[in-house]
Amino acid sequence: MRSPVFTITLLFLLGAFVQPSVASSPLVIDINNGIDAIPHETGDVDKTITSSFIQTVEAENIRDSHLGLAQVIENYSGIKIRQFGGLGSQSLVSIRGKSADQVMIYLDGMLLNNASGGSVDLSQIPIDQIVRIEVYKDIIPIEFSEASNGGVINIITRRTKKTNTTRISVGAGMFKTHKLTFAATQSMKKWQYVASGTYLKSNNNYKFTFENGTPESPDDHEVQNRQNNQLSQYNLIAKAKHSITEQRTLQFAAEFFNKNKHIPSLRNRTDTHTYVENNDKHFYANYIDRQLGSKNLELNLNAKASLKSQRYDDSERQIGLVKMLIDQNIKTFSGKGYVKYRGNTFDLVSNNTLRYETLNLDDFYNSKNSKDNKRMTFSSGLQAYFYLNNKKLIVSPAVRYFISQDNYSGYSLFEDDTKIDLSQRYSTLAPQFGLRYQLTTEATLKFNAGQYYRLPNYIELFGISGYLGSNESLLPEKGINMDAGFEYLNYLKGNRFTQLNWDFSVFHSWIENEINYSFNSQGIGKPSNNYESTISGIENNITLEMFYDIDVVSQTTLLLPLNKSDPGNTKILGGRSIWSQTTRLVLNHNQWQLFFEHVWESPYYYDNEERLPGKEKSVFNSGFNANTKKLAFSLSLNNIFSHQNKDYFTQPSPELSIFFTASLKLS
Amino acid sequence: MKLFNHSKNNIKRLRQITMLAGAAVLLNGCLHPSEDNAVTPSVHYAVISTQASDNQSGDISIISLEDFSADNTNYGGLSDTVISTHEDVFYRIGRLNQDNVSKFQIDAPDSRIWQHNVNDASEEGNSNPYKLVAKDKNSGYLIRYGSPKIWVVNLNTSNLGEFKIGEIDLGHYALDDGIPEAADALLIDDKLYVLMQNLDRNNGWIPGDAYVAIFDIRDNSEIATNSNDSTPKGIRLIVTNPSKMKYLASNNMLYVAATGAYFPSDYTGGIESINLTNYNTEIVVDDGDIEEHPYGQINNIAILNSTRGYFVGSKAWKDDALYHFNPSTGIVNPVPLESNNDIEDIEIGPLGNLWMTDRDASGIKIFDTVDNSIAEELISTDLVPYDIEFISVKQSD
Repeated sequence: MRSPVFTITLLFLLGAFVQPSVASSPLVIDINNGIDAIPHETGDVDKTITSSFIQTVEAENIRDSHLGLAQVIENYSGIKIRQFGGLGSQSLVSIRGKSADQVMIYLDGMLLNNASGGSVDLSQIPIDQIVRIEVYKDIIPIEFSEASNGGVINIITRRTKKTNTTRISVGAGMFKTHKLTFAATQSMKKWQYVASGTYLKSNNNYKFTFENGTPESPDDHEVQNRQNNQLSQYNLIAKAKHSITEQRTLQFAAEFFNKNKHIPSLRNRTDTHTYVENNDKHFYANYIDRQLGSKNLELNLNAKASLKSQRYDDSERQIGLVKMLIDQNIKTFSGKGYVKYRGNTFDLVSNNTLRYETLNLDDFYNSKNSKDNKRMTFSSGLQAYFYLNNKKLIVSPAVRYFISQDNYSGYSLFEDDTKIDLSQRYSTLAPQFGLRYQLTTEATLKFNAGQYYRLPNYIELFGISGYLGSNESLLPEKGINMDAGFEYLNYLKGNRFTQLNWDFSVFHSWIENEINYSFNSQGIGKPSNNYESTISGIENNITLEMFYDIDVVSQTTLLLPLNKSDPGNTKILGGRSIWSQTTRLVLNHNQWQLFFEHVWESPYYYDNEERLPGKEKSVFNSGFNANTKKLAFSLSLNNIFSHQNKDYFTQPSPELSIFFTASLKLS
Repeated sequence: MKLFNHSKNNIKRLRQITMLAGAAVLLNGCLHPSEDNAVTPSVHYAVISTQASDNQSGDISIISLEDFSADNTNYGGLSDTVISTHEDVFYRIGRLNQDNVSKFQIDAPDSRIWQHNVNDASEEGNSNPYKLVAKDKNSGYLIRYGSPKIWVVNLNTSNLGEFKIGEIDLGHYALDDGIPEAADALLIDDKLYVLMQNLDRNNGWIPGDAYVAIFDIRDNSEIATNSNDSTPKGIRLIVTNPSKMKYLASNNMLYVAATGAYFPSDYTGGIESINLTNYNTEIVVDDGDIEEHPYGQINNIAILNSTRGYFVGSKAWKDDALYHFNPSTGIVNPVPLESNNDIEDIEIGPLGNLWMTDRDASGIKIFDTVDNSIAEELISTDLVPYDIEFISVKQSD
């Protein structure tokens, strides 16, 4: 595999010695100009200077939707969601063809990925509390202390405001879906508060074609309602911000999430009771100083505590072969120090995070408990932004250093189920480089290259007793991402077209030492670094705002994800479409909006050996929103023509679903 | 796809095999003459279920014994599958969470004749079918590992409602979990022999008493192998957790390979013989004990004749070995033919060679049973091979 790490590192060092000219304010234009719903805070990525390709979804595009977070972002280019079926089902995200394990998910600056297992289930994050979703593709700014090959999704929940607002909304929809949401902001002298909560419940008993275990014998297929698929979910967010001075603030937050999701059996039996329950609590305190010491320094200090518990209950052995009742508890404590220096000719960002995680596993039926497992990590990142040629050219080299220490005490499948104590240490150094050039006031060129690692998680290193084997010799996955492209924003006033947004990028990734399970003849899996892949592609997004307030949006992704593990027998990686296209027509008039959307994906194989072909996806969605001073209404129709779709070979997705929401703004 | 290696030695071996095959055909013609006394040659195929190494999917490989060429892309599908054969037909059995059986003709392996789901609406779990034993062209017995009931099935219908035509209840063999884990079955002289593991699903899959039950296929009644009315009629085994059995007609003996408990290993397995004349059993090869277990856990067996047999011992993950032993004396050649490999299945082929799934190399290795030398180093199956079965098709004149 090619490895231009040395070249990238050299570029970083060269960048440090470049002599920039004296510059004025940057000429770059934020492509989201004018729709920034939330104030920028120290520690947020400055999108006016970053070279990363970012997809941003703002609050007004998702408010009052019954969709989950996954559904909101899945129709954007380069993003693929695979869902196990229905509202609240496990939803795993892939960015530019990478696996879900490789995507880092941040919630208000907290990394949600933990040591127990890599993928984050997006369905656990309530959509109503989100004000912005940022998707960073491939090249990740240092504001995110940990990054992997697969990109970053940054989710920002409601922040305090200097206004007083109160809003309540109720919604109802098919499959006995009900939702209640409230949100309130209050500002009093130097204090600002926000509190919000959501309760969502759904039977999720959508109709689907039950194949009866015979996918190729349609005679015994029948339309059934999905059984044991119900969901109940609630969350509460409370934040308080104290403005010590104009430049210094102190913030406290508590976030609670609970989700209880039942799991249907493959036979769709009515007497199945298996469920999984997740309970997350996050607490953090944040100190921000926008003018530390000299006026050019910004500081963000952060302390977080996170408690995550999950229970999986298949006590009646209705899903698996054995009775299972497993409790998993993960505690995470972290501290972050972020400093930004703003100079005339360059900015310097340093981000350092220390994180301590403990993991306890109780397996009640097998009595193989695993306690006192620990992971300690330290990550340090440094990124510079050099402003050249009157800030038309911005060069941003960066480097991340990461070190971790794992300690495990539990049972090993390979040691005849005896108790063992293991430890493992990793350290990585990952450089990256970015270049941003303001060609004209409308057009920006970008180029990026970076190296990234993904550490093996606990399950891969130490296994799950009785179910999956371990391999404490695993190496981190390693990858190189490169992308290049342009962004174009043109206000065409006085024309039929009032605004054109166009961004285009090409990307290429090499990934080696990918961790994959191979199974022996007894069906016992063991992970090893036995995979290699390359992923290339093109993204093309066009938004055209026309006369009569009509917007046309087109998002296209072409992807070539290749499994290079067998050099003489290259295959397409499973679970990825080569071509996807989303087209949206939005009609805006005064206070209402109507949209129509078509989502198309070419067929893909479900597996990596090209033995399980899937079908193409063609889904039509539509919706209507109306806003007055006091009231807001929203109606959404998804999968209007009930296209039968399966993200996974055995898990059908809902057909037509309709949802209606009414919101009351009290102040 | 790696085809037959045309080295001089292998060409010589192929000639020997062809001559043996020709001799077998001739001999077959002499012993079983047709009406006009002409010899009807047969064409032999190996039908092999294969799996992706990550268990996401699988396929069927067909290897012709004429030239050992392999056709590896036929059906696709999920990974946990086994094969059963009868005359010119093979059945692809989708096991846990597939719970289906599909029928194919050997000359059209990518074209399914029918596919049936084999779960019973009255049963809660997954039936997890393991084997289909054809009684004749029209009916057979479907062994369902996850159910106490064997289905008697109609093999010539595409209609699911007509597929199951009867059942045999094994529930009286089960422990409290109600499922006896029927893992293998053989049809010998109008009798169906069913091998049951009897693992305790409510208690970490600890093995209980294993049995071989015998049924008269003329009326599906169970045959008593003992005179004790208070115990099951079947043959209670000494070994625990058996998975495979083979029959040797020359001495009317069944040989059973057993693993003992999976985790932690207790080494209560081994190879046990059953005399079908008097139903007496005897340990032929002991797998040892917790302190000493030279072969690991024994999980597969192939019998050529009363003095030549083979078994697979598993010492650790993907650390299996292939041993040669004497079924009459129980003496094991301590030097394995193959070691440090992931081996699932071994079978004696129609031409008398030993076929082995070489899962590390994703192919089949063939041993000459005359001297245990390698006859075919590797026939690639593209994916990892799992279950080997054979079909012999009589050629028409």
